[in-house]
Amino acid sequence: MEIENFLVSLKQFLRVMHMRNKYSGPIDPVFPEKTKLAILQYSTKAFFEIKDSGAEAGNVKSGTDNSDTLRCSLAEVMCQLVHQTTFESDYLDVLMGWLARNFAEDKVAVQIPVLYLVRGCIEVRPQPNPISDSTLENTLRVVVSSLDRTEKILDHPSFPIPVAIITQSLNILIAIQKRGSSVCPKWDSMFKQYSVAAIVSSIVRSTISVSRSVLDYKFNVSILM
Amino acid sequence: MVTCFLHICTFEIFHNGLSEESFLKVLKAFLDPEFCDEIILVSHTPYKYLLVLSHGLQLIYRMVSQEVAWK
Repeated sequence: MEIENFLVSLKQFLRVMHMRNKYSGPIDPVFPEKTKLAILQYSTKAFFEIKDSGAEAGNVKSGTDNSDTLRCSLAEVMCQLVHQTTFESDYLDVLMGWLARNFAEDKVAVQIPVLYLVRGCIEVRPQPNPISDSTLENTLRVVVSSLDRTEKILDHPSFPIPVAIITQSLNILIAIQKRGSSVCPKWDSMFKQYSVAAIVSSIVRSTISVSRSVLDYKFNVSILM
Repeated sequence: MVTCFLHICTFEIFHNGLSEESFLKVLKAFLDPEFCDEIILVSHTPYKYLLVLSHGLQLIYRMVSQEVAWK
């Protein structure tokens, strides 16, 4: 719990620093770039290792609620940092390579900040460094499979609609499309390869269908009353 | 849903310089019978569904307007 509290405080600190730097100029001597990069590297390493090893990391075992909470906090810290540092161009490659193998196993609570992190990495990617084909492919694999899974439970009344997962997944696709060919050279052909249009249309149609059933229910209840 | 979509289009026209021609083309694509009967959803749909719809429609719109990566 102490580690989680520390991470929550760190996340808040980074958020305040970011806003302060944005509006009043940098205060680098206090919080230099290399420190941010080091925190990003350590956080990412810890995020992977807690899951990978299954061994104890501090007092936290992989797969427990505590480890999920910890990894969720780590992902939120990483989200803050990718917007504030010029991280190495292979960071996204490593992240997506790992996520392509492990993302589906994570709980929704961990998946949401992770998707937000991926979106941030794509949005801040500097222009001269295009995303490699394999990384873009891994990204699409994660996003499309995530949308595919959520779509299956959309019309299932016993499941709450995973709005954050869907919107973040779609935001990643929008970010890729916005960055265009200069950063994601083969985005167009890969969107076709992974049937992005079909899955997004399907999500929209399912949502319309669910909305309609909710409206019908409300309408019927109002008649009865 | 169409209002939601129009809002996105309006935003794009003013902020990203979408041409009127492209806008009408996209609008026409959406106003086919498959989508027309969903207009009723506009003012009654719960926010969480509208959120999903607006994101989905924005992406579809972007792909259609660029005439790439669509189908």
